[in-house]
Parts: sequence; C-alpha cells; structure tokens
Amino acid sequence: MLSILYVILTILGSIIGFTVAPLVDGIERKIRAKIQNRIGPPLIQTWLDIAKLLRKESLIPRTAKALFIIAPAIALAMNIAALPLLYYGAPNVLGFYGDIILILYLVVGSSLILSLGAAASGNPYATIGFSRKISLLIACELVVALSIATAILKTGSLSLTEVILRTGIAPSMIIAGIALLIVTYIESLRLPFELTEAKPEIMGGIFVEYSGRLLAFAELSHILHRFVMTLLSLDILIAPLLKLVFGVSIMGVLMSFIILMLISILVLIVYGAIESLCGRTRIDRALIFTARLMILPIISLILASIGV
Amino acid sequence: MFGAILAPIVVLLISAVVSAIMRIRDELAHIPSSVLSAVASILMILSATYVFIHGKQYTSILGIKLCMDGLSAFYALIVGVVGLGASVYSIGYMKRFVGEYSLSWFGICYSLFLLSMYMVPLTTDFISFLVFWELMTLFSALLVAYESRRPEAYRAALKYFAMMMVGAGFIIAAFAIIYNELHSLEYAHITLPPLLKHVVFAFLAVGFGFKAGLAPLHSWLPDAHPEAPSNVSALLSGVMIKMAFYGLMRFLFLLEIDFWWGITLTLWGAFSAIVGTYLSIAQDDSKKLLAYSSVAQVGYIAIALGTAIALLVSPYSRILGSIAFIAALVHIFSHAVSKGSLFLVAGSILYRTGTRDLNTIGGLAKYMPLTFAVSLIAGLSLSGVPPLSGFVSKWMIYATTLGSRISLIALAAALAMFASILTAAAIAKLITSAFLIERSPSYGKVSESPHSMTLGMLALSAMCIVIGIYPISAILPASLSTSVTLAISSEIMLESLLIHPAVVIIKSAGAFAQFSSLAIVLVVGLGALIISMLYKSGLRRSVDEWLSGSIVEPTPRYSAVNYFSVFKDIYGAVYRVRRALIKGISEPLLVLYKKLSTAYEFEQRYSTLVLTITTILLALIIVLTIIGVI
Repeated sequence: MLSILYVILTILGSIIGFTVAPLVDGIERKIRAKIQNRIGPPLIQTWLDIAKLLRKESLIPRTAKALFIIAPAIALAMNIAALPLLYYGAPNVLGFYGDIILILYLVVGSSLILSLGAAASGNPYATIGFSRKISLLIACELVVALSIATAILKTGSLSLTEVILRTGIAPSMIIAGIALLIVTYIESLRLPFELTEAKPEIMGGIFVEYSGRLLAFAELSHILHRFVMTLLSLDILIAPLLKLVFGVSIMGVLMSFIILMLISILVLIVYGAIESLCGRTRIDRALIFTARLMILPIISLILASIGV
Repeated sequence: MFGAILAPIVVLLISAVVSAIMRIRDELAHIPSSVLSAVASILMILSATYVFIHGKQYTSILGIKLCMDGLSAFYALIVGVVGLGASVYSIGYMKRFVGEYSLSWFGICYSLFLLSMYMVPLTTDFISFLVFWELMTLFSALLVAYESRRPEAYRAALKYFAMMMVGAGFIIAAFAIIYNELHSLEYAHITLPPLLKHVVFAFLAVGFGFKAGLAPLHSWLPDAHPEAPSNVSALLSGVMIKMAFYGLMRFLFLLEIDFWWGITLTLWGAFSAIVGTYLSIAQDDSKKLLAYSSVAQVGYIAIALGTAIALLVSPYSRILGSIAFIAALVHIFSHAVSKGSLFLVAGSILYRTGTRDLNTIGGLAKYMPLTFAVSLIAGLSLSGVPPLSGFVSKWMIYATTLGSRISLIALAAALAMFASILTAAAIAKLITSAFLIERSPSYGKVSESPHSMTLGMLALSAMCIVIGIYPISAILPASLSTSVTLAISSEIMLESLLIHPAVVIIKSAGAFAQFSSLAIVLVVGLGALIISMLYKSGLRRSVDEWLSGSIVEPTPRYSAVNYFSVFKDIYGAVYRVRRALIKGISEPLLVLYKKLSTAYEFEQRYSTLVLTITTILLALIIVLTIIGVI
C-alpha cells in the first residue's frame, strides 16, 4: 500500500515538475515585471511561448552541422529522464545504488550537449557563449562534485533515497546543501550569471541560431534543468529534515511531498526576484565568485570525514 | 593447445622478416607488415578468447616459459583490439611517408613493437619480463623517432628513452629485493619484512609510474606521443602505457598488500587526473591535447587500482574491492579503444590538412563526416557520456570509490568527477575547433580519409559503442582476469553486479532497481528520437547565420588559444605551480648541467642526467641487496 503511494508520488512529482517548471518561470516573469513597474505577461506565458515556437518554422543556418539539430532533443530527453530519479518526499522506488551519479551525469550532460550543439551552428556568437558556458560549467561542477561526495561519504550510500533516509540533522550535509543551492543559481544562468546568453552583448550566445521547434526544445530543457538542480539541492538540504519531522507514514509522506514541492517553487520564485535586481557581471567575476564558493563544500567534506 | 599462444608470435616475426625483405620495394613495404600485423592482432584476440574459455595455457619458446592466464589474456585482448584498428589504419596512413622515410624500417619496428607488447604479459619470470619490457621501450622509442630528420621527434624519443631507463632502474631494484628473498626468478607469492615490503612498493610504483605517465613522471608522454606516427600514438596511448598497470597488478599482489598503498595510489591518481586534464585543456596541438588527457586517464586507472588495494585488505570489503579491480580493467579497455580512435582521428586530420595546430583548422565536419562521427563517439565515450564505454568504466569507478566510505578515497573521487568535466571540456575544444567552428582554411577543400584509415577508426570506435551497450563484453573478461589475480571466484563478483546496457549496478535491495537504469537509457534514447521526429515533422528553412548584419565571411573567428582563457586565469593554480616548479627546479638544474657540460648538446645533457641517476640507483640496489642479505 505504502509502496504504491511512493510510486504514485514519484510519478506525480515528475509530472508536476514537468508542467509546473514553465509556470514558475511565468511567475518569475510576473514578479520581474512588478519590480520593474510593468504589468507583465500572463502566468502561462512560457507555455504559450513554447506552444507558439512549436508551430513556427525552424531556421537552420547553412554553416550548421547535424549536431546543431539533434543536440536540443538529447538535452531535453536527458532532463526529462532525470525527473523521475529525484526524491519527492517519498522514498523513490525507481532509485538504485548509484542513481546520484546518474542524475549528475544527466544534468551536466544536458548542459554540455546543448552548448556543443550551439557551437555546431557555426555562429561566432554561439561559440563565445559555448566557451563561457563550459568554463562556468567546470567551475560549478567542482562545487557540485565535492558536495555530492560529502553526502555520499556521510551516509555511505550512492542512492539518493538512502542518503536522505540515513541522514539526520548533520552540519556537513546542511553546508553541502547550501553550497549546492547557491551553485544551482549560478549554473541555471540567472542574472548576474546570465553570461552565455547575454542578449545585448553576444546576441543570445548559445541560443542565437536556435528558432522554431528547436528553440522550444532548448528553452524547455533549460527550464527543466533549473527545476532539477533546485530540487536536487533541496533534497540534500531539506528532505532529511522533512523525513525526520514527518516520517514515512502515509500522511507524513504526503506532507513532505507538498512541502518539498512548495519550497522548491518558492526557491525558484525567490531566485527570479533576486535575478530581477541584478545586472550582468563579467565571466571572470563569475568564476572568481564560484572559486570562492568552493570553501563551503571543502568544509563540508572535512566535517563529513570526521563523521559530523 | 600452445599453438593458440604461439601463432601471433610467429606471424609477427614473419611480418618483421617480410618488412626487411621489402626494402627492395620500399614504397609498398607498409602493406605486408600492416596486413600481417592485423592478422596477428586477430590471432591475439582469438588466443585470449581461447584462454578465457579453457583457462590458463602454458607453452615455452626458446627455453622461456610462457603462460597466458586471465590477466595476460585480458592484455592480449587489448593489444589485439587496438592493434587491429591501428594496423588496418596503417595501410593508408603510412603512404604519408613514402619517399621520405623508410617504410620497411617502420614495418620491422611496428611488428616487433606489437610482439613485445604481446610478450610482456606472457612471461613467467622476472628476467624475461625485463627483457621484453625493455624491448617494448626500445621499439616504441624507435617508432617515436621514426621521423628522424625532425629534431623534435629525435629529441622526444631520447627523452622518452632516458626516462624509461630511470623507471627500469627502479623496477630492477624492486626485483632485486624480491629475488633476494625469494631465491627464484619465477613469479611467486612472498612475505617480506614490513619495511622492505614498503620499499618494494615504492620502487614498483615509481618505476611503473614512469611508464604509465602518472604526473609528475609524465613529462616524456606529451612529447613522445604526438611525435610518433598517429597509428603508433594510438598504440602508445591506448596500450603501452597501461602495461605499467599490468606490472603493478601482477607484482603488487605477489606481496602482502597494504591499506596505505591503496590510498597512495588513489591520491596519486587523482593528482594525475587533475594535472593531466588541466594541461590538456590548455593545448592547441591536437595530439598534445590527447596525450595530456592520457596522463589524466591513467590517473583514473590508478584511482581504481588503489581503491581496489585499499578495499581488498579488509575481508569485509573484498567484493567491493574486486569490483574496483574490475573497474580498473574495464577502464583500461575503454580508454584503449576511445583514446586509440581519437589518436587515429588526429592522424586523419594531419593526413588531410598537414597540421596538428587546432588554431588553423576548422569546419572539417562537412568534408570528413565519418572522421567527425568517430571523433564524436570516441570523444563522448572518453568524457563518460552514456551509453558509451567510458560511462560504464567511470561509473564503476565512482560507484566503488564513493561507496568505499574512506574519506581520502571519496575526496579522490570528487576530484576525479571534476577532472571528468575538464576532460569533456578538452574534448569539446578538440571537436569544436577541428570540426565545427568555421574558419578560413589554409588547406582548401579536403576529402574524407582513405578507406583503410576510416575502416580502422570505425572499428575501434564501434568498440566504444559495443562496450557501452553490452558492458558484459568487457566486464566478463575483466572479471575472469580479476578472479585469477585475486583468487575470488568470478561468479561471486558477477553475481554482485547487475549489468544493463550502459549501466552496471552494484547490487542492492530495491524491486525496481533492475529496471530503472535500463529505463533511463531507454527514456533518453527514445525521448531524443521522438523529439527529433517532432522536429522532422515541423517546418524548416535553411538560412545564412545571424551575424547582426555584418558581412558573412569565414574569417578566423575563435581560435583554439582563446578557449577557456578566463577559466585558465582564475582556476590556474595548477599552471602557476607548474611554472614555479619549472622555474625553481628544472631551470636551475638545466643551468647546472649546462655549466657542467657547456660543450654538450641538449640531448647529451639528458644522457648525463640519466647516467647520474642510474649510477645512484645501482649503488642503491647494491646497498639494498646487502641489507637484504644481512
């Protein structure tokens, strides 16, 4: 009975993640508009955009290689595949020994393949965006790898569900979770770190040549990526606490599910609000910031290795 | 059936003789040697398969006892697979040198190089091991110096040979200590006093570390690998540097392994992985980039082997340790095929455009679509993208290292993950600047590489896909050889693994666990297919690229030099430390040697260095032998 609920919640969570992530983007746009004294688009604008883009024709530059066309599809599929592997407040029955590494691979792989696809367009702006994106990705990945290593070392499991179920309140995990949450902000390319698109500077960077259906795939993939990363950091940061408070009974699991979803939506909204208050930085500043951030996961790894 | 083992030896000897005879028609000399080497490679694969099915085989040749057990068979398999690809590739590639350098000489060296690599794992005593080990070094050095009129190649070969001599000195010292206790030259288990045991480990690790190219003993590698002809580079990077791990696997387990050996190897491997990838993303020379990436990848193998040793010490983690050992072997296989193909790709680019400089080539994808496909498959495999071979092996390495619950190993694993994304960046640099980014070419229109070259590359890169989709094809031989080395039944190891396309899972409870990994691979594959179909059904139009209205011309746009420049500045501690070390240690040393021998040429300075170190080592060996006697 309980395990059926677990399955349902995981599936439900994935579906909600898929449908709500673009809606949250709509909320972010609304808030940005409010801060900038505009009325702003309706909440479902992002879905409307995607629906419209799906109907538009795709313009393929003559210099583009085949990779340009298949990259958005692979990136989107990777992000969708990562959704059911996350922890939605209930033990994930799809989880297995090593699923954390798979999630990381899917998340990083989707960014990588999308930027490779952009470089395959042959456009110089896209190439600049590509180079910036890879630099930023490497810098962020170091923080992510160290944080995840902390979680694994602390609990001795490579299964996300087991990591969460085995952790009580541990300082090392909390620090690792915070580091992940901050790095999520950077990696999801929000202002001031929106360097790979930078419309006024490099014409949309990696997205410059994408249009029509291909742009729809790329946009959706980008939005899902934000959601997956956010939920993953919250899984490390908050889910152990929720499990401690509510347990794994029917009501407890339901409560955890609702709270986890609400918090992740809230985090995305707060991120959107922060974004609207920022201007774009330079790539070197962004990398220096990420380098300084490394202190957090290093501390957490040291704490975890002494068993705290 | 001893014929199975001897057949490749005979064929390769014939190949060397035929090459020597072909001196009279030098422009065709590469064809018989390449074809015969390819045949010998197939025979190696067959003999390895025979051993996997029927178990250990003994034979002897000229009084040398040979034995092919699981571990040697695994190495014979790798030599065979990469040798096959490289030999087929040679048929086309060696035309590059017609009239310039002797193809007959190449044929002799190439056949004997393959032969020595095949023989090293077959030996059963220390002396013949050393003989074939040195022959392997000799013939590979001759092949590195193949373009002997180019001073770079000559210098690289000398540097390589010099450093290998130092490495061999350490190995000999270790063997001397073992022999002193064992009083027999054949491999046998031995119990050494604790101090001596650690000394043997240190000597073996450093000695084989030179051959493996583990940083900071790697400096020969990025010189020698690019200077060799590309088919040889594939063998050097794909197979030869892994022979060092054969040595470690064979000899370390003769002793009683120690926990701290494992930790040392793991941390050393992580260091090598970071240094290798860092230097790799900074290269603008296609083959240098790949060579530095090899420094990083041997680091991964060292991580896996070190983890295996650390875990095997405790009886509770023997199974996980043996899986780490399998991971090391699978990574050896997977890196052999992917790096092998990438060196062949670099060779094809060199063949068609005449340059290795990534700043001057670009947009080759439309001229060389098959080469591009190979580079994409092998490159993604090297970066560890599913469902390719690199993912399988790296996955197993992460699963065992992170699952070990030893904090130093977990740290190494986190660094390895970071190195993994740096590898992806290096490969992205190679692929984008050579194939994707448009640039005004200095070489005009080029065509796809000749058929034999394409065939060789495709065969090797196909192995990346085969191992990725049927991981058992690499894991079964690896587990058979592991069971021989560690005396754990391969059934027990295989039972603790769930093997799916692209994903190998260490067994744990969970009803859906068996399906989910498979499901993920399917979801990504099918999802991408469906989404692509969706695209296909939509409207499309071909247009010029958007350049904000400026005139479209394929000017030099984004040079390889500029890649990750900001990253290299800010995360450049590795470069700065390296520069400081070169300034602080290497340069004063060179100045010192210059003063000692002002009249000497550059190469001679190296030989002085070697002479000094060998003398010290010999003295050390004598001292240690005496201590051993007492």
